[in-house]
Amino acid sequence: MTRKNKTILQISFVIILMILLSIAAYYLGSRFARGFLTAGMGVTLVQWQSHFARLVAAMGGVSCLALLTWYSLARFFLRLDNAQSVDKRSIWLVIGAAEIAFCLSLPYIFSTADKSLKLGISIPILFLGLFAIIGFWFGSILVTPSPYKYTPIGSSIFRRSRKH
Amino acid sequence: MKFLSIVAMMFVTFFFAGCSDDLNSTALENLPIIESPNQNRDEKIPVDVLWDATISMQGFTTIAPMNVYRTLPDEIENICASIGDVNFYRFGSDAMKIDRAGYRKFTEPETYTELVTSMANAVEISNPEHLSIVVTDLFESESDWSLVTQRLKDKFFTKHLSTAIIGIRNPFDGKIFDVGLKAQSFSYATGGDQNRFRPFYLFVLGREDVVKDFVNRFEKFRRQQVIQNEIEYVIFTEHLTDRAETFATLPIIDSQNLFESVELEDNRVREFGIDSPTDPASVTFNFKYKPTLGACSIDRNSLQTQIDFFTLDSESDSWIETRNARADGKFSLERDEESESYLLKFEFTPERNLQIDRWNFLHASLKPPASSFELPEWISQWNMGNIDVNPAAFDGTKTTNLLHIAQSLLDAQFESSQPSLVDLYFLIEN
Repeated sequence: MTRKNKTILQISFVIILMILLSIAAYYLGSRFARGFLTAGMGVTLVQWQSHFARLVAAMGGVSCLALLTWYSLARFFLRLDNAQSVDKRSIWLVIGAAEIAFCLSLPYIFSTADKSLKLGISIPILFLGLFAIIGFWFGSILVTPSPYKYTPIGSSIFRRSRKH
Repeated sequence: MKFLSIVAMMFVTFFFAGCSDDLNSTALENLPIIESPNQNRDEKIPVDVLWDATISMQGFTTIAPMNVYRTLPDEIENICASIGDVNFYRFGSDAMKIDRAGYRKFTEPETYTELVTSMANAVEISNPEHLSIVVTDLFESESDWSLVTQRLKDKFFTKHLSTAIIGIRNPFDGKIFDVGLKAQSFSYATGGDQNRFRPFYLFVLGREDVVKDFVNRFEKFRRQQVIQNEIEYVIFTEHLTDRAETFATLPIIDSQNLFESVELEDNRVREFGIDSPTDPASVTFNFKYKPTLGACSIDRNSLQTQIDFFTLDSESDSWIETRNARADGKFSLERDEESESYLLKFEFTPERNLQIDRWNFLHASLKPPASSFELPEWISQWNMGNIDVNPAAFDGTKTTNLLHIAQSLLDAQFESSQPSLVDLYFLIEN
């Protein structure tokens, strides 16, 4: 496979991964909503789902952007000038921290702006699990280009276990 | 590859985990809501005024001061103008429609020529789809009120319609016939003494909301005209408050283990989902008990919960009534001293009240038992027993058998359907 094709494949993988995680977030979130969305709140589950879908789409978009940002930096912009410049973990950590911050803050921002979007604590936790852990962390382990393939935390363990 | 297949399976599971069968429109249209369909209050309802033209009514037209009876034809037409077109009839043994010139003649004594009163026939010709107002002294020839009650039950109460009696004390100077077991006749004159005024009645029949509307409008007319005559009300209806208290009128202030899944067109019904089948589910409302004008008093400490269970037969889209021996649903009513209202809570355990893997429809109603109903005091005060009457002791301020008439109407109402305070309709897919 050529490098160009591999790049296209990896970018496509990121987009598809985030779409699938968004779908999972929507359905799991709807499940969790049965616990905190009680009768008398003035909103039915169906109405809530239409508002929640917007939050999930925003979260999916932000997560996709975060992972693609890391991928683009690693693929096109970061340079191996010397042995010390391999360690770009700090950049990865900053993007990861931003991802976590979005997982926690976007639900709060949306629910404050939209009175129909009642949320429980389970929603930010769900977003952390899906978008931050599976999406960004695990996704970055899978798609990070070779020069930086050990930059994401835990990638060396993952790659060692694959070899075995 | 193995990892990717596991991930794919997870997503497929998540995808279908949120899916459930929606209730189709046929099943929604066939919901077994016992009361009549949502009534359109803007709809015009024809009004039929049946005027008792027997000789015993003559005496109500003779004395002018404080005479509500003589102005009644015009006043009823004014009151009913926004309800619908008004038609007048005179009745005795039979009924006959009369024109505008004819109904004004009810203010003249010569109009009253009928010899036999047949309320039973008046009820027979009443149209249940109209508002019927019978102007009468509530006397029935041959005292056959049981026939009247039976016709009321068959024609009105079993169809979830209502009746009301408005009692009006009016000046009187004339003859009163067929009094007591020996059918005696007495002359009676009130003069201007309000304490001696004789009662006549408006016997109102029709759809519950329209009967209540007329009663409220009549009371408003009484206040606006500052009518000094004593006027009293009693109403026999399925719902003891001005409007039927359902999910449409009662805001939910708290709930447990229940979430609303979809908004339905008929807002008396709520579609709920259950989070846990074993945990108690409940809804709590702020309930202000405002009895409708003329409602019988009830004992609020002896209210009963009645639950009707139905499940959906998915092949025929019809609802089948079921019996549930394990059901534990109940209402509780707690007075909120600060707001002078009640906290009304309905609680049930899903696994004990709902059938699994089916659509369930529950009708939970809060009802006072028949024994706790009391007729208004004025009924007893205006009542005279059907007895041998000593002419010297005859009391023209009272009506023979009024208590028996009112009690029989209350009994007929209960035989058809027990009145309720609150009706909750739950649609739940378990």
